Amino acid sequence: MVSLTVFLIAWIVLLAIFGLLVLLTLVQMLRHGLPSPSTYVTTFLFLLVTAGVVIGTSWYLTGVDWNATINLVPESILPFFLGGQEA
Amino acid sequence: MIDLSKLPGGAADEENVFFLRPHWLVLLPIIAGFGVVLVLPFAVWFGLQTMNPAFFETPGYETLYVLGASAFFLYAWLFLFQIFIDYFLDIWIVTTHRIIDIQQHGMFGRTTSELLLDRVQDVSSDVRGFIHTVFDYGNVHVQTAGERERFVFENVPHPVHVSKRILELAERRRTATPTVSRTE
Repeated sequence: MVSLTVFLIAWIVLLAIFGLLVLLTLVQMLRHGLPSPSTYVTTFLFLLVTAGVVIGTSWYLTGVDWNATINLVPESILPFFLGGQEA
Repeated sequence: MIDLSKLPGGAADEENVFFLRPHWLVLLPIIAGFGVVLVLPFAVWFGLQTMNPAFFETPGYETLYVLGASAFFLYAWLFLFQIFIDYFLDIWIVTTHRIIDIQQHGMFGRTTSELLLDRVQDVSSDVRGFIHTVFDYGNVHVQTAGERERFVFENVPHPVHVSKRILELAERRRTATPTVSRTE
């Protein structure tokens, strides 16, 4: 059994790396792009969708009981690995 | 940002003639492929709900799925944006004096080359394939006196018109600067 907080921490780490990559990508786009509406519109759209997903996920995560644990191998498939014996 | 009105090393009488980047249709297959990838987390969710509703009733599985799917979606979305940048930042600028070729290679690779128009010897274009012909886009090859092809404008709109115009500009430039050595 694994605590759900382990997955939350992994997700936060992935999100931090993602944030760093987004920052580098935006610097590239805004430094080397042309000052045209298409540059601003596409950058804004990218940030809008990103913010939507992060905010939506965070909103969902506020309602989760983080003290819960999770069994990574479903009990229904344990007999398959244990040769027909129940765990 | 690149200011087209103040290109580095530009002469006072230099004017921009073309600003080119690959035709938007080049992006379409990539966007379609990524569309499928981006829809995948939602499709799997609905698939599981329909075929195995008990899956999300297992404590913690729904949370695990949301965490995994959101991370997958965000990274796929970022990767799509980086591919778009790779396309968007590949540009060719043709002025009355020179051709500037700016190529983006991945996230950090960037090449900028310049060719004076009076060195241009030959310009050709090719449009190959049904889609290219219908939407009028293709390659423009710019050749200098050397053996090696100097520039290739890949998948630019109206390649025939662009190649003709560059030849005209090169000819005009050569007649305007007769003292330039052409012994290459």
